[in-house]
Amino acid sequence: MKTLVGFGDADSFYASAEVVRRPWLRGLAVGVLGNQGACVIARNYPMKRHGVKVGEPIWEAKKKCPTGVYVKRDFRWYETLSRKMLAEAGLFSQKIEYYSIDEFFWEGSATRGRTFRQTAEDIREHVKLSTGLPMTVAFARTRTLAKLFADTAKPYGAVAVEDADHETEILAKLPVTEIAGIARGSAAKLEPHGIKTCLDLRQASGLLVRRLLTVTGHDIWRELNGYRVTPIRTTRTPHKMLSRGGSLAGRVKDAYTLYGWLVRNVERLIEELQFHEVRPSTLTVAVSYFDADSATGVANLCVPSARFDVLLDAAKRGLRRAWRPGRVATHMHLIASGLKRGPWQQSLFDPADPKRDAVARAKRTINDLLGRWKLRSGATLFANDWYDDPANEHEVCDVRGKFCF
Amino acid sequence: MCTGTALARSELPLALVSQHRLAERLYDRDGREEFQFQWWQSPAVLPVRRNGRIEIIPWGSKSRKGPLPYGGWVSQDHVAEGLFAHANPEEVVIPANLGWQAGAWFLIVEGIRGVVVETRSGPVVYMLMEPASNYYRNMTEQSPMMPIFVRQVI
Repeated sequence: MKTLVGFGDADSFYASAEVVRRPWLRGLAVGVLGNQGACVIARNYPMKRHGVKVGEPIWEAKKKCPTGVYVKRDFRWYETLSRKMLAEAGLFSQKIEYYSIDEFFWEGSATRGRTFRQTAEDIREHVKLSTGLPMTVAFARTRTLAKLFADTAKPYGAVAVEDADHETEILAKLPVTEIAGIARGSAAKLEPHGIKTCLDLRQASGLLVRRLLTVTGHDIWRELNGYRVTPIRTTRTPHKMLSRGGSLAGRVKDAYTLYGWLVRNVERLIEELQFHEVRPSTLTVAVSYFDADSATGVANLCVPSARFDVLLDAAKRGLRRAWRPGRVATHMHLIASGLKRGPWQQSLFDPADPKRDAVARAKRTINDLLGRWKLRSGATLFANDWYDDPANEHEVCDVRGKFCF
Repeated sequence: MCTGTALARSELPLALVSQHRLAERLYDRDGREEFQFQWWQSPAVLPVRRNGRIEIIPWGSKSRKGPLPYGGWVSQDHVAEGLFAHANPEEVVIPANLGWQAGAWFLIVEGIRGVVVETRSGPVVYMLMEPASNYYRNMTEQSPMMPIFVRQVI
């Protein structure tokens, strides 16, 4: 039986999710604001028609779209709908990949008695009926092609491009920058060689593409030519590194506040390390500044560990290197790398500490029972405002099992 | 601050609409009809959920000479300290779907907390305020105060 790669992409997902929850918003221009209330992180098609772009500050957006309604993001709700969408789309294929919060790939064949195009329409209708979310569905020979063709069919499209001639017709109209993974820098490398459209790239020499865009670009080239490079992955491949952090909710100059954020990020990272049952060998603290260059501090751990005291000690060492006294910090990330999976052996540098283990267990149990961050380090009081807002309890990175944002 | 609210047309009883000539405050937002209650309107009024029904009540005071505080907003702390102790204050909910401040319409889940005080000419409502969150400040061009929402944190 002929199989193609299916791809589903919810249209304006965050904004559509808000409409599902509050149907009276249907037809209105809706913009979802980020956790600082400053930028539009998603908008629906009515707001898009006013020219509002993703990432645009609200003070610009409201000028372009004075009747627009601005909503605070709620990743807990978006995750609920995302998983529902995944389950419903999964009824059409046994091999489905949770690619991002609003995108799914699957290996699919046409439903009996239906063409691929009709099957795409069926999936789209089913997802809409069962979740309320509009989704564009595409079938093509590879992931890259399916994603590209879905983008041309948005919003609420259903397409199937099954043969090379049909592909050629569409690819000739698309600039290379439409391909996920080819940004302006890569496009600038391709242009002197006359490669401007997706079709130009597909017809270029593979050797040239690899020279210009490395193996990653070469894989895209192969996908454009109909060769399936990346299979459908039904479970998340193990992480090579784990990271937690992000915005500091404003500009932070005070060392204690920065330290509060450091401890918060250590606690978030430990949650993730425990979930994945890994321990890092290296911890990197990266801080971005408003009025200075970004800085990083790397701390190696004697023994891979996910213990709070050990990681906090390493994080402090990292922060000392990344901290620029007197400068205004805006973002911080903690990156755990060199992840080791069990079984772990006790060593001289990793003596057992039953008291600390008991405290960690108690903390985890209490938070599992009463809610995230109900019990947390006292040092996070320096960043306390952040905990007042329940929307900050759940970020997009907390949606587990997907491959990217 | 929050200088305006909007409520779907369907959420106000027809009798109130005619009694308070609210048709003048009816707006069309991309096909959705809503009543807008803005501080600049004259008279400024707000819908209030009180005694199990919705009433339309004058919003604050635009006079600096009367016994009432000037403006349509009072700090929750000041009310707690006895600002209206003499005026029989009653906490109420101001139902709203949207709020307006500094050019931005933002979603309101249920409503805004308010306080109704009795005067010689009848009840007057004020919005209850608290220091603005970082989110609210950014959204509203650095408004230092924000309304207290019912079961909603922004």
